Amino acid sequence: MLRSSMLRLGALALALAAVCVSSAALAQESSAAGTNKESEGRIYGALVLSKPGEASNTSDDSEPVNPGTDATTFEKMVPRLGKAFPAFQKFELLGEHRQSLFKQYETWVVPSRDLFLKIDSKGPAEGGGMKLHLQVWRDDEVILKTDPVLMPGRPLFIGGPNWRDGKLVIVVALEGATK
Amino acid sequence: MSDPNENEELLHRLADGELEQGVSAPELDEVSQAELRSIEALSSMLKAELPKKVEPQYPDFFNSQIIRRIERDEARELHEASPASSGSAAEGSGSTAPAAAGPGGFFRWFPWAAAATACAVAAFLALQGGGSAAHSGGAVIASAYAPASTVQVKTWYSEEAEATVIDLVGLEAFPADREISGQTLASYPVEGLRGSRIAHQLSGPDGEILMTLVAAPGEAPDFFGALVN
Repeated sequence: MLRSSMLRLGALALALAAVCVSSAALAQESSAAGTNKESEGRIYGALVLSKPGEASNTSDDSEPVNPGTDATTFEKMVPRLGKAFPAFQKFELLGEHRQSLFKQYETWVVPSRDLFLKIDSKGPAEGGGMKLHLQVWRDDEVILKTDPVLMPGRPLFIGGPNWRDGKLVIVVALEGATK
Repeated sequence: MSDPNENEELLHRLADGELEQGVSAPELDEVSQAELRSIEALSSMLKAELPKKVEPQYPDFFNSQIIRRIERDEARELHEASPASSGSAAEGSGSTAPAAAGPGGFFRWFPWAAAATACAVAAFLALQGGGSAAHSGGAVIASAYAPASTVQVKTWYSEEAEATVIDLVGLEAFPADREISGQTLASYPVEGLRGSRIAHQLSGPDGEILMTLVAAPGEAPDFFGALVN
């Protein structure tokens, strides 16, 4: 009887240890590389007006600003936006903002004062990604709170409110990592 | 004179009618008689208020548990006496579970099964790298929440777009007559006389720099006046 009780206790102890290990694995966060650096990367944020219709890479109403890097970034996003939002095929860049991402301070990405982002860095993630706490602001209120992990080359598209004949979409991406 | 405790005990035995046969009731003084009458009155009152006999709930349950324990002890003794004997040793081995639990063997292997399952889960989670990656290679949404109760948040990963999508359904549309204006900003840290600052550069459609605003880290660019507190 004593032996069987000891064996059961041992099994339960093993189960408890396994639970502790899994909890530690879930709670584990990789230490930030270069903790002395204030900036942990750069964030690209854009406000895009998505409209139904024939696919086009540029808007009818405005040309992409800063044709060098900005247009390339936005133009590369357009096909992906079309696949993410199949109902829309025309995309017009309203504004964009490149911003360094700071570890200690909140970061405001303001492609437009109508819809903008507040981002807090939660440190780097595996694979070169960034863990963020992101808020989408509309005027003076928060309409979305999310905790994404942005990976290089994998942007985040946030479908916002409708406006006129289209839908406003916010694009968030790690700078310099778009395909 | 008799011991007070013995006298009290005698009185109680007299009141309960528990004097041994052949033993006559002793003569009592007035104090003892008064005390005897008090004891008898109390006894009568208690007997009137309380039932004579109280049956335990589910008497059969207790009886069955006692029988199970006896059988288990006997089986254990037999098992210890002949360890090489085959046959079901499960009966009466270790389990004190209620009758509905079935053979005691369940409680022999269950802890091991739980331990093995927990180890498998721990190994799986450890291999996952400590994160609940919802999408392989894509952005991971740990949580998404819309404060407005009328807004529904839908999240998915688009393999074709290679992007994570969050769609807010139910948002109030912007009025059509409202001008949604965008801006092109580039922000970068600078070192000033008062330490680190952030320079926000506003550019026009042709790329020309229209305005540069320097603000402290964490401050919202304030090109259009106060944005948020």
